[in-house]
Amino acid sequence: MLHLIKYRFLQMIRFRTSMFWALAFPLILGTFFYIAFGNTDSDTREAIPVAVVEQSGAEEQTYFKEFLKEMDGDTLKVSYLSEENAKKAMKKEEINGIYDIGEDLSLTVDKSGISASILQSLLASYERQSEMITDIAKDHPEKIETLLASLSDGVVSHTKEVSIGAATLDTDTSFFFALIAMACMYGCFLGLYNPMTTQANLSAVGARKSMGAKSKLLVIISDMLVVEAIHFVNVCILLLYLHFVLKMNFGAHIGYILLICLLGSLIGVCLGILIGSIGKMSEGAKIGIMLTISMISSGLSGLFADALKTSTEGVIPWIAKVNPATLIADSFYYLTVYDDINRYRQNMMILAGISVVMLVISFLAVRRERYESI
Amino acid sequence: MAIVHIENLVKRYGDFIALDHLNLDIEQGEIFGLLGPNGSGKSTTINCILSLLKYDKGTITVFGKEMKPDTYESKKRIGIVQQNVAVFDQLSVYENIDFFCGLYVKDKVKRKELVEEAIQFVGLEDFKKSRPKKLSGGLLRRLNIACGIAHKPELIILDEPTVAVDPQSRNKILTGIQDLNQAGATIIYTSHYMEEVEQICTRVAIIDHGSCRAIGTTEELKGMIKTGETITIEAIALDDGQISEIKSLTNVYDISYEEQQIKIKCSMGSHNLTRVLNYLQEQNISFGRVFTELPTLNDVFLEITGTQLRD
Repeated sequence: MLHLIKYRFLQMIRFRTSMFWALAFPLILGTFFYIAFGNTDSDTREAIPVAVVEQSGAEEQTYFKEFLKEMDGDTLKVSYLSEENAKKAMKKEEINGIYDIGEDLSLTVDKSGISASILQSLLASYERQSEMITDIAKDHPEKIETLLASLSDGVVSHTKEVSIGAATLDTDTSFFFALIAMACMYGCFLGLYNPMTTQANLSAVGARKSMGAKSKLLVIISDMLVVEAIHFVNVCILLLYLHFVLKMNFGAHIGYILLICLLGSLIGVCLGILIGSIGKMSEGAKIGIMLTISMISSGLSGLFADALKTSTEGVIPWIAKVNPATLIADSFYYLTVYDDINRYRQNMMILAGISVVMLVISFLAVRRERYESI
Repeated sequence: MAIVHIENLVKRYGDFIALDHLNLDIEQGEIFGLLGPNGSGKSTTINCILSLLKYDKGTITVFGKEMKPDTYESKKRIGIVQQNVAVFDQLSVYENIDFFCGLYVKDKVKRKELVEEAIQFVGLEDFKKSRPKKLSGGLLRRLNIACGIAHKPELIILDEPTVAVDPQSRNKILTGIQDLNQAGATIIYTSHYMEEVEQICTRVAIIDHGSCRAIGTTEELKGMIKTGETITIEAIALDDGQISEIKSLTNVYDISYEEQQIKIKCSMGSHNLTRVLNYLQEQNISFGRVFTELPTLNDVFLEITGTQLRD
């Protein structure tokens, strides 16, 4: 088995394309995020003019009004207008957006851009905080005082979000959590290689390996162990880079964070193994499918825009509960921001469950040792 | 007892019958050639022997045991060199051979010796640390062979190992195969290059449409067909009457005349050329170059299957 592990390891670390996607690409993207968010720092940006229109039910939204009050000044230039006047102001480009406050909260913008993104991000941030308060009040009523104290101290803002998990994180952190989730999912680029080089009907080396005097199960397990170990290290390298170079704080729960990395990298690797195992498509087609799935999954976890995640959770809530990237990103959130170990555990169990399901399907697909055609 | 015994092997791909009640016995110590055009069923036969393919009917035993995917004891005694180069681009020449050898041989020291021997055998001493992408087509084929034979198997299956190989490498490969055979290995060699099969194989089976059409040594196979000698005469002008008269000569059974070149096919017998030349002299017919050829495996294939080997 050591022989198989040694050579699998050498193959994988020398496999430049896969290692680029699984290791280098997330590091590069993380750096870009860092530079991009650095440039939109509120200290160097003018306040964004925005109108607030109160509809029926607005009296229920006192916390949001408080939230806007906190923002008014450095971040926003808030004006309370009638609906008609707000629309006129937006047409004249006097304001960048309109917050409609009623039973629900909504945002209208006239065009996309950094200002629109920030306004959307603020709304998403507020909604997430509301959800957090509701969750904590339900699951950990003993911590609600700490949270509310932090809120009343004005710690919560679009750039400073409260953490009761020993880490203080800004809202841009959600992008980095989604980035880590994407990096985990990109383990599929390593996992794909396993069935492709083990199955006699998928490659010539697969046929040659199948003729070896080693049990197929042993080969599959050793390949899997190597790839999982490599990708776990890849994700850890990303975390170390984010922590030491980009100065992200992940709090004190090192063990729990490592478990996210372990299960996160496992799910990415399992995705690759699953796609590699099923069907006799070309390698290019399989990579295309894998990339699509991992990008959609990462996108829905908030990689491209926090609003996408928030709106998906609103429209199709079950997706967030089974989307691996969302589960990974949220686990970081629960751990470092909410300090909610129960939700974290729940996510870990779902991730492990999905990995097991993918592995079982893959195993059923690759257990054949004789093929109909080669 | 035969090392490989195949009885009534049937393999279908949907409605297409790839192997149609194939029977073969391959004896220890021989270089057994499977000769047939592309799609005739050679590789399918090999993959069935190796237990990689499911088959619909029949029995295959290797070393006296039924071949199954988990017959590891038999697998240890088999080496496979596939038609497609099967090596890892990320590993060096040495590492590739060591990896595949390690699928059969656990002992590190012994394996090191075997790998070195294999490298020497295929002449890749100067490329030990090179990656496959740096090797030429011929060298890559040699690496492919080294990966298949490093563990010193008793039965070596080579599936068209010389496809797209330069003449120098091809000769080295063919000589190497004969050396392996002399060292005690039984070889199964598939090819659609009849010259190669004729050069190295001690026994040949002609496979066509998934069944064995003829089997024997090359001499035995040639003896199975009508053609004993083909006489070719160039730069000769003949009329229909003269062609008919040549056709009526003793042992002549077929004539083709095109662009002042006549090909006279004679069955086994002596003085065929003398009789033809005497006739031409009597008729005072001038002619250019004259040569005769003994039957080739291609003639055998043509007569037995009705098609050219490379059609």
